[in-house]
Amino acid sequence: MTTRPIVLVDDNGDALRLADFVFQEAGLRARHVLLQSGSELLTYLERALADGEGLPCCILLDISMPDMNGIDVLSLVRQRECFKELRIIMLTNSNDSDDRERALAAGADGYQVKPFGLTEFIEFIRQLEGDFRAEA
Amino acid sequence: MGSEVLAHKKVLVIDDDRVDRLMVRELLSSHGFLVPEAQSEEEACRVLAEGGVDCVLLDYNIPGTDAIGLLSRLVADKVPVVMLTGEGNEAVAVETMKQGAQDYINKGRLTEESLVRAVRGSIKTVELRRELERHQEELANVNEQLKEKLEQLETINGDLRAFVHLAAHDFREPLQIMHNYCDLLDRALNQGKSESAQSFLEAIRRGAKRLAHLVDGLRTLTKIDHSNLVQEELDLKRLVEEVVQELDVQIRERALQIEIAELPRVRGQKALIEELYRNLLANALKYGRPSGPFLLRLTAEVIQNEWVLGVWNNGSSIPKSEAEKIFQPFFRLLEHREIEGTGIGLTMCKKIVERHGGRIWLDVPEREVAHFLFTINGTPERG
Repeated sequence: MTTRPIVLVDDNGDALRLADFVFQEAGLRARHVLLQSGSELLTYLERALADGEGLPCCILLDISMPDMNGIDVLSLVRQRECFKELRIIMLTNSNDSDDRERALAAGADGYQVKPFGLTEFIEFIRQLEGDFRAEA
Repeated sequence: MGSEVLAHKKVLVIDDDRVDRLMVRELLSSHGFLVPEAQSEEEACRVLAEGGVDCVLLDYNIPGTDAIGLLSRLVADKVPVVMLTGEGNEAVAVETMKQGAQDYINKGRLTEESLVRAVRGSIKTVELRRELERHQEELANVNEQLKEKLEQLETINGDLRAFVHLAAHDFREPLQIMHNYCDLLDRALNQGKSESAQSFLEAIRRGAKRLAHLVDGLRTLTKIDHSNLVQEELDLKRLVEEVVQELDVQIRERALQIEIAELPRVRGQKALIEELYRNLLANALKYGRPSGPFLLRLTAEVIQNEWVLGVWNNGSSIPKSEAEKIFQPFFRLLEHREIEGTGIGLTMCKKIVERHGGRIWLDVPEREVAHFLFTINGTPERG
């Protein structure tokens, strides 16, 4: 059984509290980590690497964040050779083809419009965990 | 009718034959034309130099005169020319027409009617041609202006598209969060968890408040763009004091010390300049978090013959690298994410300043200090 956590990065506190609830509701076996900015994510990843506690099985990264937006964060993470294989899915508020292309070009593994409705959100998280299990 | 319109037109006759000149003059004078005469190119040049010649009758055959050369100079000056040719010189006549003469008259067959018709026709043709050229020039100008306007429109259109894209994005986020919290609230109520329900309600309220702020901001932004700019002379000192008065409660709560420099009189729309100062002051109050005393200075100095006004405050956390980005719509700093704001205030300031033909920028002279500077077409003359 994997102990690698699933990480969500979103600048909005309400969005994080909501996700916290959704992760519990979805009955995720993996633990989850909630972060509020790109720099928090970079610090977290470096520490996880140094402590040998294992890199996350998946990172959900909000595109629209102040200072450093999600795509800039993604590019920075991908610059490190040891983070190249990390599974990173971009979260966005708009299904914009330009954003999608930029995200995929910067090395995103997926692009997800933030679910509208709790059932859809829980379903999305369950599906995500199902995907890791299938891969494991 | 034609003769009235063309009366008093000056027709210069260039001919070395005195009798011919006299005849032409008699005929044209009786139709109201003024008819100066020249018997050589030299004399002709003198009359032409005086100006006001509307038409030239030019004898093709003046000894010692290069009629074709003179013709081409007259044509270049857009003076209508009717050639006077001798009998049997049709080939020459055709040649001069090719060179730009308006018409020709065979002296041997000259009648009052043919002479007047040729002169009137030539003057009319050249006048029409001039008018046509003027219209073409005007048309070219209008075309040029249209092209400029089109380019401006394309820029505005592009800006608008980018703006709508950003706005749509910023509106969807609180909606998505509110929607999901509504679902959570629903569950909590069904399960009788009133404490959770309360916190979900709070989150929904925050979302609604954020949306309301966004709507207000957008409304003000469009107002700045579309209202007519009515400028008047403003006593900036008095205007600023009124704005400071409005924010009195917050200023006292935050123990903000304000220094106001000697401010000039400027031209501007009162409501907009007030809004500009209100936004910059509110911004300082909202984001200034000094460890020591909280200071704000309203600055004014003349730089390169132009008033540069400013709002300076300490306790600011805007990094130098973000100095340009902060004027973009919906841009917010990470450090400020827990502070209520829409990311529209500084965009509004930029629009106000630009509507007044000025510019705005942020200077970070030292750590934790923000100095917003702007110009609003003020002439350096202390009031």
